[in-house]
This record gives sequence, C-alpha cells and structure tokens, in this order.
Amino acid sequence: MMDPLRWEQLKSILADALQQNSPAARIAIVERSCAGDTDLLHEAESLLAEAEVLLREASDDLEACADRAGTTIPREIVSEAGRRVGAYVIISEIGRGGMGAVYLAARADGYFEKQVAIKLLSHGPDTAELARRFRSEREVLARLDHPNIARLLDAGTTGDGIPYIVMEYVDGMPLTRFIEENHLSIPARLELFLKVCAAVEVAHRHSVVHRDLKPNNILVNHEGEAKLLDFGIAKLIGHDASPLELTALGQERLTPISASPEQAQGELVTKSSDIYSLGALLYEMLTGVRPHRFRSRNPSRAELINVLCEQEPAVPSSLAHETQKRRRLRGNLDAILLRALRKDPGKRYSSVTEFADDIRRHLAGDLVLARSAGAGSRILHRTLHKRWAQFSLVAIGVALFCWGGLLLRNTLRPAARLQEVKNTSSSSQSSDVVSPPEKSIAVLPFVSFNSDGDNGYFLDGVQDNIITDLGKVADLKVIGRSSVAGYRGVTKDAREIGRALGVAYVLEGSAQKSGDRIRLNARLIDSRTNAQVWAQRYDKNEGDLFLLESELAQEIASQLKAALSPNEKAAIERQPTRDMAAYDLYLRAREAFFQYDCSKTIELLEAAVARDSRFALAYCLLAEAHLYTYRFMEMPPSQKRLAAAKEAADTATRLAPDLSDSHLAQAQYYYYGLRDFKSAQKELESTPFPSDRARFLDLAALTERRLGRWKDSIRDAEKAVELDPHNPFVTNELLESYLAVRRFADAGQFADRAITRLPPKSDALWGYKADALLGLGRLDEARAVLEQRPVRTNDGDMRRAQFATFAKDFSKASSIVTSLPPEARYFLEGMIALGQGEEAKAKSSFQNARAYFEKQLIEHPNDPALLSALSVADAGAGRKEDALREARWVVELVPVSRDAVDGVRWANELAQICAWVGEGEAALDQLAYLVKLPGGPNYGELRFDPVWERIRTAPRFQEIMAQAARPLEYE
Amino acid sequence: MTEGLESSTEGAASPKIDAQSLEEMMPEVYEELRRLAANYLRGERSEHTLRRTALVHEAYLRLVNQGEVTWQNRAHFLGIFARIMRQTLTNYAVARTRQKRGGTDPLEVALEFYAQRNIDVTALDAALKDLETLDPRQGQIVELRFFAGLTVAEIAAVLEISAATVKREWALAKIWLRRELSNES
Repeated sequence: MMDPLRWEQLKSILADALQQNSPAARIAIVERSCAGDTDLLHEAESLLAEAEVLLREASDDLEACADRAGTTIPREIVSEAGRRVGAYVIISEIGRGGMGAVYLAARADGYFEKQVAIKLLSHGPDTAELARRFRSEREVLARLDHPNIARLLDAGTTGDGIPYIVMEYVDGMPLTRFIEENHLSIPARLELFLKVCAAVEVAHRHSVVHRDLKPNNILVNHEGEAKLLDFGIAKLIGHDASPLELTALGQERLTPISASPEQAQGELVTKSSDIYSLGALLYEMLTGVRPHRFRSRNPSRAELINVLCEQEPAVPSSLAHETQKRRRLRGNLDAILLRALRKDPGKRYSSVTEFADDIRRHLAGDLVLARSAGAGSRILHRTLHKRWAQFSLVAIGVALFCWGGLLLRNTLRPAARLQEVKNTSSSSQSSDVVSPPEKSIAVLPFVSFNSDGDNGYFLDGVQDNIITDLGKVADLKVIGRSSVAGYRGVTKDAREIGRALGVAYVLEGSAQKSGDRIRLNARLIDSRTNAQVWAQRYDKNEGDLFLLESELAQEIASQLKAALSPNEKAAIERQPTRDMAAYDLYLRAREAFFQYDCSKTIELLEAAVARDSRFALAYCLLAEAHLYTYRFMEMPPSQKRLAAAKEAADTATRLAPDLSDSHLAQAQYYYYGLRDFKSAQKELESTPFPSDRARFLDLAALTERRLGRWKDSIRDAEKAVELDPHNPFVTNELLESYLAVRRFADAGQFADRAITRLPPKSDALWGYKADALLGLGRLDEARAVLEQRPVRTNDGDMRRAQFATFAKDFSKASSIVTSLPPEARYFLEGMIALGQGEEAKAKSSFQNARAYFEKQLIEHPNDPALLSALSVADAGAGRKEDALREARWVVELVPVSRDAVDGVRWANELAQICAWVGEGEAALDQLAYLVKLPGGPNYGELRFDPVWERIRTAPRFQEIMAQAARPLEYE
Repeated sequence: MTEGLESSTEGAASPKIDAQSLEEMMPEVYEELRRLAANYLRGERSEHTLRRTALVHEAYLRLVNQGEVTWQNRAHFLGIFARIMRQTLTNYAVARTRQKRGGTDPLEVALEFYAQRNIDVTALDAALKDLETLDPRQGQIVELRFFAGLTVAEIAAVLEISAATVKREWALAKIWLRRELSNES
C-alpha cells in the first residue's frame, strides 16, 4: 500500500529518471534506485510506463483539459483577486487599457464599506516620482470635488514596485452605451452632456486639463448620473504626456478617437484640447459615430496626423438616416459641433462654459453663437460686453455695501454684517491652483538697500503697513503676514510664489531709512506672466512715511482695478500716529511680538504710548501682548495682568472706536481673558470691516467653535487658511475642527498639504495626521506616521507612547516614556503596567501622578486640566469615589453649554473615568450623549483605548462604536 | 477565528476552510460561487457573469472582515473556487450517469470535451482524492491547474513556491493520475 513517504520516494526516483534522454537510461535509473525493494520497483516501473506513453504520444489529455479550463475561466477571477494594494484588497478586474488594468477593490480592514477602483499601471513613473507627483497634485485634485467627477483618492507603489492609483469606484456603463440602451432623446443627450461639461468646467477652473476625454472615461451610474474618470491622471503619469505619447511607451495603443489635432502633433495640450474632445464626444453621442475614421484600430502616427489635422469631419446631420433626426441636428447642432471641432484651437469655443452656454441657448430655442455670422468678432464683442456688465454690477455692489455700512451701521443687524464681511473675504476659492483670482496680491518682505542690519524691523513695518492698508480694501485678496514672511531674503520666481500663495500679483521692493530720509523702490509683478506691471521709486522725509505707504497702497489697488470706497480710502489714509519716534517703537514692538517676546513688546509699547498717548494701534497691540502673557505664559495667570489688558483695550476703543483693531482687542479680551465667548462673538459682530482679515477670521473661527457653531467655525477657519496659508496656528485650529467633527479624510488630506507647505518645524501636523488615521481605526498607519516625524516634541512622543499602548506594543511604549517629563510619564507608565496586568506597578505609578497633581492643585485650585489629571490618577490608584467626584466637578466647572470645545473634552474624561472604575452604565449613558457631539469619542479611541476594556463587549458600547464610525452631523 | 486582519496577515496559523465548510458557514456565498462556476463551465462571459464574479469576491472579503474566515492570501480564495469548480463538474457528471439528461444542458459541453479526451471526471475526482491523502500540496496544484485553469506560473505565484516545483509536481501528478485512470478502466 502506498503511503506519503513512499510516494515522496517514488516522485524523487521518477523525477531523476525523467531527466534522462533515452528509455533505456530512464529504466536504468529506476532499477538502480529501487534495488532490493521489489514493491517499490514495481510501482516505479508502472508509473514510468505511463510516463513513456506520455512522452511518445503527442497529446496530453489532462493538459488539454486544464488548458481549456484556463481559456473558459476569465482572468478576472484569478488575476489579482485578493492581492493587497496599499490599504486595499483587490476584488476583481474591471477592465484593461493602455495604461494597465483597473480593479474593483475594498479597504483591507473592511472598516469602510466604500469600494474603490485601483489602476495598476503597467508602466509609469517610478515609486518616488509618482508619490511626489501625487503629493504635489493632491491639493488640486482634492478641489475637484464635484458630483460628476470620480475622485482620485490615493496613489502609491505596491510592495513589488508597481505604481497604482486609487480612484472613486463608479458602477456604471460608458456614456455612449448608456444613451443607446436607454434610447435617450436628443434633448436628454444634451442635458447629460451638459453635466459632463459642468465637471470639465470645474476642473478647468482649477487648471486641470483632462487630456483624454472619451466615452470610456465617462460612465453613467444607475441613477443616470455621469461620472468623469481619470481626471488628473495624465499629469500624474507624465507631466506632458499626451495619450499618444503614452502609447508610444508600448503596450496596448489607446484609440485616438478623442485626440485633438494639436495632441496628434505632439503640441502643448491645453484646455482647448479638452473642448475639442468634448466636441468629439458630443458628435458621437448625437450621430453614433466618431468624427474621424481610421483605416485600422491602431493607426500610424502619420495617418493620425493626416486624418486629424487635414480631414474635416462630416456634417453631423448628414449622417442621420431618419429625416426627423436629420432635421433636429441640422442648423444649431451642426454648427455647435463643427465649432468645437475646429482644427485651430483659437477658433473653437474659448471655454467649456461658452460651449455649454451655446447648447443651453439651443435647448432654450435661442440663436446660438456658433451660427452667428462672423462669429469670432461678435462673440468677442458679446463676451466683453457681458464681462463689463458683470464688472459694473460688482463695482456698484461694493460701493453700495461700503456706503451702506457707513450709513446703516446702527440699523443693520450685526450678524448680517459680519456675514457680509466674511463673504467678501472669500472672493476666491482657490489658493494653490494655477489660476488665482485677478484681484489678489502677496506683499513680499522688503529688502534693504545695503546690508546694514538694524533696518529689519523698519522693512517689516513698511511691508506690514502695506498689507494692512491693502487689507482694508474689501475687493482684494491680500495674503496674511505670516505666509509671506517665509520669503524674506529668498530669491524665488514670482510665478512660483504666485502659485504657492494663490495670487495673481506679487509686490516686492527695497527700502532704506537713513537719518530722516526714507527711500523705497516698489515693483508690482504679474505672477502669471512674471512681467513687471508697475514700478515706482520714492524718496521722502521720515514724517511722510504714512503718506508714502498709503499712496503706494492706493496705487496698487488701482493697478489691480480694485474698487476703493471713500470709506476704505479714508481708512488707508488714516495716520496711526504723528510721532515718528513712537511709531518706530511700535514697529520694534511688533517685531518682538512676532517673535513671541511679550515682555519686550510690552516694554516698547509702553514707551511708545508714553510719547503719544493717543496712539490707538499701540494700545491694541499692548492689550494683545498682555492677553497672550495671561493665557499662555504666566503660571499662575495674574488678575493684574488681565486688568492691564482690559485697560489697554478700553483706551484703544476710547481713542478710536471705529478702528477694527480696537474691536479685535476687545474680542480677544473676552476670548483669551474671560473665556466669555458670547461677548467675544458680539464684539466681532460689531467690528467694522477688519483690516487684518486673516486674524479676524481666525478669532471668529475659534469663538464660533466654542459656541458650538462648528460649521461656521470651519468655514471661517478655511478662509483664514486661504488668506494666511503659512500661519501654523490657523492651520492647526482648522485641523482640530476637522478631527472634532470626524472629517478624518479631510483632516488627513489637509495635514498632508500643510506638511508640504509649512516648515518642518511643526511636529503637531504629524500628530494631527496620526489622529485622523486613528479616528478611522487605522492604528498601524497612525503609528507609522508618528515614526516619520522629522522633529520630535514631547507631545508627539506622548501620542506615540499612547498609540503603542493601544496596539498593545508595551515594550515600545515603555521605551518611549522614559524620555518624557514626569507628569506624562506617570500616567503612561501606569497605563502600560495595567495593560501588562502588573497591577501593583500600575498603582504605584498612578500614586506618583496623584502626588504630583495634588501639589500643583494647591497652587491652582479649580484648574480644570489639573483636576481632570488628578481624577485620572485617582481612578488608576483605585480611589473610585474621589476620581468620580473630581471628574464630575470638572464637568460642572466647564459645561458643554458654555464651552463646546473644552466642555466636551472634560465630559469625555468623565465617561472614561466611569468606565474605568466600573460604573459601566453611567459611562455608556455619557458616551451615548457624547458620540453625537463634535469632539466626542471617535471610532479608533473606542476600539483601541484600554480604558474601555470593562465595557467593550456591551452591546450598547458596540452600537456607540458603530455610530462613531459613521460621519457626524453637526451644526 | 475571531481575529481580525491585523494579526492574521502575518501568516499566523489558521484553520483551513474548504468548500464544505464554506457551504455551512455562508450558504449564499457558496451558492453564488457555485453558480459562477457553472457559468464559467458554460463558457459564459457576459457582463452579468462579471458582476457575479465581483459579488463573490466581495462576499468572500466580507467573510474575512467579519472574522468568519481568517485572511490568508489569494491561494485561499482560489482554492475554494477550484474546489467548487471540481464539485460542480463532478456532481453534474454523477447526476448525468444516473438519469441521462438531454444534450441541452450547457455543462454537457464541458463534459463532452473531457470525454473526447478520455477523461472521466468522476474517476478523476476519486483518483485526486487518493492523491490528496498522499500529498496535499500536489493535490492542490492539480485542483488549481485542472479545475481553475491556472497556469504553472500563476500557481507558483499563488502558492508562493517556485515555478520549477509546480512544473515537476504537476508532471508527476499527471503520470500518477493517468495510471490510476487507466487502472480504473
């Protein structure tokens, strides 16, 4: 009888034998190997006999059957199913194209049910290059958030080096097939096409050209919604690669049905090429055939150029067989299509919008532009006329608003006015894309004429005043101070700076103060063309500095064609002080303040107001410096300090009640000083148009968040980021808000963007990115992110240790905590010991923590953070009643109704304490309430934090966890 | 069995799942896979079939995500698939000998192809069972090659062994199976 060992032996003998070339040699091997074992020899001989038959015969039946199975069963099921690609698992193949195969995939952790499409590229840029391009494109792609555009979600490289791109999965069929199968009428086809246009318009607005628009790239889903695929891919795969060049790299050729003449000739691909491709698409949608035919599926380049550049497509109506259809196409639609398909890009529609508008005109029964005689000039005329009309409307609107603001100050509802201020601040929607709003400017730091070093504060002061002056013009987008500070002494192309900051113009220059003379050169540069549009040289007396600055600001406003109201003009011309020595002190104080040296700031400002006691701006800054000291630098914060802040703010208000800075100082007093967010809000609402919009919006966002108005807060913070993209505070605050409302994907993407934008000093950004991943339950990835941090702070390391504990990686956690300060170390050591089941050790750690915080509390009784820490320590040390009492006390001190940020934070802590000390039901009640609030528990914390161990299996906990995994509805 | 993905991707030992246990665990996935197998055997490749493929893969991943099945690799899934292909064919062949059905059933075509090449699927199934007791891995190679139609290279990739090994095992298995099948007849 055969057994596994014997079969193994036989296989080895047969394999040896089959290596021989002749039957005689083979049998010889068998006989020699089986010598003395007749059973074995018998088996081997009978198997060899079969092998000999197989070798002799030409056919192999088993092989043939296997091959048949291979051809019957499609590759989809065997090809890549189950393969891990990044965070995804491939489910099945969807299709193949010139660039590689596309697969349906799902998140590997099954956490999100959302499916994606993954393109595995058969060729393309290498690992680092693709990742780099994706990072640089991500921001732009993230803006292509449109219901008709399938989003690009991720890109990377598989373990074995194959580049891939992750996209939104669209379950649908190609557009052309959809319209045929559903027998759509011509108007219905046009409506569908308009949706496609809308998507392309959005992309063009963000300067993304598709380059490969064709029926297969436009799917219609079950709801009948068109979705454009592959937007942005061309740029990811190769910056200038057109579909034709891509095919040149080998593999399957792309069908050049959508290529424009200029693409065929390898010329620059522009928006106009997309317009051509849209024309080709509509042609096929209406006639059922493509505008051009080729002799073969894969035409040569020469044929391609010949057909696309020389042959005119047939008039669409001539292709219709039915008279009725012919009649419908004849006229307008013929003209529209042929116009979009013009060989010369300059003769096509000038934009997708114009193309779409013409179709709308046709649908409405109006005369279409494409048919008007001498279309070119007429269109130009009309467009100009339209633009002018729009411009005048805007100008009138702005003027009305400014006058209205002046006259109706006391009657207009403050909230409504605040709203208007905010709206005007967001005149643009994009900051880092190629086409910035026309009226936008970045004022770069001025450079010194000579290398004399003490001039820095003066140069910054001039720059700062021009920023502030221009900020007073509602019509302009002016980049905030901290976002331009980084360009000091950097020689960079204006185009690059304009792109990075999202502005059309850049002002740069040099200045010099020597004795009582001020010399200044300024240049205004169009960042889109790098051309100088205006330049001026000033040489004035020191006393005329403000005059010079306001002249300069007004000149720039007029160069940018910004409408300037009399009110704004007056604000610009207003002189902060007549005492130039006081002003000099003020500039030095500002410099100190921006370097966080509050005591020096205060000293300088006190000297400034001693010289000019009516210097309102100096009082505003004085109030701010006192408040920062009170809130962030003093331990304990002193009431004397707070009183000094209040006095400075009140003096500013008394001297200049209309100055927006005075209102901002008051609002800051309520926010930072009193934690009275409602009063801060009231003060902000009564602020006239703020000169420093970024700072204003920042404080508005902070205040709104505390009042539980998260939507308003996020919107304002987003605007503040747009105006001051390099300001780390604004960035961090927005990230915190995204995390609080569980917009983890947004937080992650925004953190990525900020990481590339901000100097690598910020360890916090990596922490936020990790938090976003944790919120999604992706603990391992979150931990990996924390390992990548270029700069290490204790905060980041605490998070690292905490996440290691979550992952039950206790040895790692222990090694991290050794370097932390005691107050953090005690807690983490306690948690680690608990996780490892070493209760005695845990208890002693928490007792250490207790002692530490109890001592601190003697000095600062009622400090919520210290009380909360004590409560955690008590819970760990087994003092259940104390822990609960302290945690409840904190919640009473800072209720959610008064502070939606800290209130929720302390309420979370209470839930944790309850769970920890065995009050499971109370913990669950608390969690059920908190999970509905921004800042409440998130999925990752609930899933991994050991503090929930005792209630984790409760069905209610599981429900809450599931709820935390879903998006949050917030106000 | 209840472990999630994190621990099991590391290649932790995991219970084997085959077509039978799949049928008990998730009858609808099993049923879907069975229908899919039948579709393939019929040579159908409609959009419908493609969608069904996706559904099956998805259902399988759901099993993984629910912790019902421990994630191994795609060998796991393809193993189940091949096993179901084998069952579908064998069951059909048995049913056919019991009550002669007309030639209208599309599975006929597949069996006809085998018959022309002197392969009796029922006998092959029995012989393969014997081989599996002798050498489970070799049995798996045969199953993947013969019933799921994977090429030698694909099997090598799926099982993470060298192509030379797969080639050798497949060649020796064929010899063994031929002898068993000719002994039978």
